[in-house]
Amino acid sequence: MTDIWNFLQSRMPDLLTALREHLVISFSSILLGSLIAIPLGIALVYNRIRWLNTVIFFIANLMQTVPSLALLAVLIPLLGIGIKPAIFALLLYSIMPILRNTYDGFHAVDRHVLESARGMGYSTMQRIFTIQLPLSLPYIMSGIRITTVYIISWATLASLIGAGGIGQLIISGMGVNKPELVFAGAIGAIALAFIADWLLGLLEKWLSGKFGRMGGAEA
Amino acid sequence: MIEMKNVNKIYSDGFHALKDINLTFRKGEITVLIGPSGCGKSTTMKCINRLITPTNGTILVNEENIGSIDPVKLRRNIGYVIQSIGLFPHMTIGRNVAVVPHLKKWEKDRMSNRVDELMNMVGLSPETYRDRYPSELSGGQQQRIGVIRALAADPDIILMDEPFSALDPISREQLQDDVIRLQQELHKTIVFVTHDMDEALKIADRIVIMRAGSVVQSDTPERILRYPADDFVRSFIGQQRLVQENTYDVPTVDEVMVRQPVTVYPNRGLAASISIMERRRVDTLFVTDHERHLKGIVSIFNVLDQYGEENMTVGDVMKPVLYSISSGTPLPQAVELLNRHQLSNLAVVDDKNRLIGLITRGSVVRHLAEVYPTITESVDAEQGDNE
Repeated sequence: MTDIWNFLQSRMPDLLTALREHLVISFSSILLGSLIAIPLGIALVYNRIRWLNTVIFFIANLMQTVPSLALLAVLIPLLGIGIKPAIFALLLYSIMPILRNTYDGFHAVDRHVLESARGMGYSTMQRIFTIQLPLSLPYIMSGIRITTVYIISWATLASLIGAGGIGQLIISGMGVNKPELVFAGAIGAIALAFIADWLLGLLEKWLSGKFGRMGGAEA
Repeated sequence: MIEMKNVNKIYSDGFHALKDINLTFRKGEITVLIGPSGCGKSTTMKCINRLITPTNGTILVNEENIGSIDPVKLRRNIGYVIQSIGLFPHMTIGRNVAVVPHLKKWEKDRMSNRVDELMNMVGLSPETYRDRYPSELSGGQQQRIGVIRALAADPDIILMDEPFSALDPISREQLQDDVIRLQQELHKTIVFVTHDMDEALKIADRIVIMRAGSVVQSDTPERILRYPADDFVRSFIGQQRLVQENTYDVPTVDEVMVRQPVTVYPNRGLAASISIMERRRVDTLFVTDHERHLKGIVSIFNVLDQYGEENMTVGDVMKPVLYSISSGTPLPQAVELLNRHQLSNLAVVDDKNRLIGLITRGSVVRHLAEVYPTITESVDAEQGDNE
C-alpha cells in the first residue's frame, strides 16, 4: 500500500497531466456531442418526414454498435492520430443516448400542456425554450450523465491513437509490467467518472431550479 | 362578435369534419357548442383561434378576417381554457396566471397586480397560492387557475374546451357558478364547448347543437327546450329535462279527454236517465241527438227536481251547455276554464258541435301520471290544494 502511495507521489506530475488530457478529451466530446444531439433531437421531434427520423436513429444506433477500438483505427487514415480523432470518435458515441433522450423527453411533455401553450399564443421557439426544454430537462440530463460515464471509461482507449489521457498510464503500466501504474489509471478513471456524474447531478438541480420545478412524474 | 361563414374542414383523409358552418357568436354572450363526441364542436371552436385552419370559408372576429392575422398574435388576444387544465407544471401558480401578460411583455408591477386581482376573484388567496406549483393544488383549484389564466390579459373573447368535464361534480358546479358570476361582471364573448346538457342549460345564453359536422339548431336554451328542431335534438336534450322544464309538446285536449262520454237522447224519460246514471256511476249526462250534436247537459239534480212528472223527457229538464271546448285546443286552456268556472267537467266538441269527449279533473291527472311519472306526486298535491 505504501509502495503504491510512494509511487503515486513520485509520478504525480504525469498523473495530473494524464487526468487533464482525459478530462479535455471526454468533456470536449460530450459537449460537442450534446451540441449536435440536442438540437438534432428537437429537429427530429418537429420533423414531419417520418422516414427521416427512422434513418437517423438507425445511423445513431449503428454508430453505437461499432467497437470503439475499430472506430479509432478506422479514423486514423481519415483524421490522423492524436487528440482530434479521439474526440471525434467519442462524440459519435455520445450522440445516440443524448439524441434518444432529448427526443423521448420532448415527446413525454404532456400534449395538453403544449396545446394550451399554443392556444395562448406561444410561438414555436417560445414553446421549445420555455416549455419543452425545461420539462424534458430530466430526460436530457440523464442522457448526458449516462454518456459521460461511458465516455470517460472509453476515453482510456484513446491513448492507443496517441491522444494521451489516463489510458496512457494503463498502457505503459502493462508495457513495463508495473501493476501500480495500471491500478492508478483504472482508479483515476473510475474516480473521474464518479465525480463527473456527481457534478452533472448538481448542474441538473441548478438548472431545474432556474427553470422552475419539474413536473413530478418525469423526474 | 365572431362570425363564421360557410366554414368547411376536410381532412387529408377525406373526413368532412365541418360542413358549411354558419354561426354568429354575439358579443358579451356565452355560446355553448354541444353535441356527441366527434360532432365537430371542438373543431369549430379551434377554428376561431386558428389552432385548426378551415379548408374554406371565412371567420371574422370583430369584423376582421382572422385569416389575415398572425396566429400567435391572434391567440394572445383570445383566452383559452382546455379540458385537462394544461397548467405548466414547472411554473408557479403566479407565473402560470401571468403567462399571456408575460408574452405580451407587461410591466412587472402591472403583471403581479393583475395576478393578485384575478386570484382574489376566484377566492384563492395570492399569499397562499401564488408561489405554489400546480401539482400542489386540487383539480378544482387548478382549473380555477386555468380559467383566470385565460382572463389574465383581459381578452374580449374566451374559448373554453370542455373545461370542467374532468372535474368531480361538486367542483364542476362551483366552477360553473364562478363562470356565471365572472361573466356578470366581465361580459366577455365566451365560446364554451361541452357534451353536458345540464351544464349548457345552466350557463348558456345561446346553445348551438351540432351533429356530424353540421349545426342542427342554434337558439336560446329556452327556445331549444320549447321547440327542439328534430328528434335528434329532442333525444339529446333528453325527455327528463323537457319534463323538468315542463314545456315540451303541450298536449291538446284530444290526448287527455275521456272518449265516449255517457250521453242520453233528449226524448228519453227521466227514470231512464236515472237508470243510465246509476249504471255508469256518473251524476251528469250530456244530451245529444243521434248525430252526437251536443244539445245540453242534465245533472241528477235537474232530473230529481222534476221526477214526479212522468211525461217529461230529458229534453225538458236539460240545461244549456255553457262551456265547451273545441277539439285541438291545448290542454292548459281547458284546465284554465275548469278552474275559473269551478267546472267538474268540460265537453270537447268538434267543428260541427258534435260531442267527441270529455275533460274531467280526473282525466287531467291520469294524463300527467302517464307522461310525467316523476312529478306526479307534486301535481297530485297541488291538485288536492285546489279542491
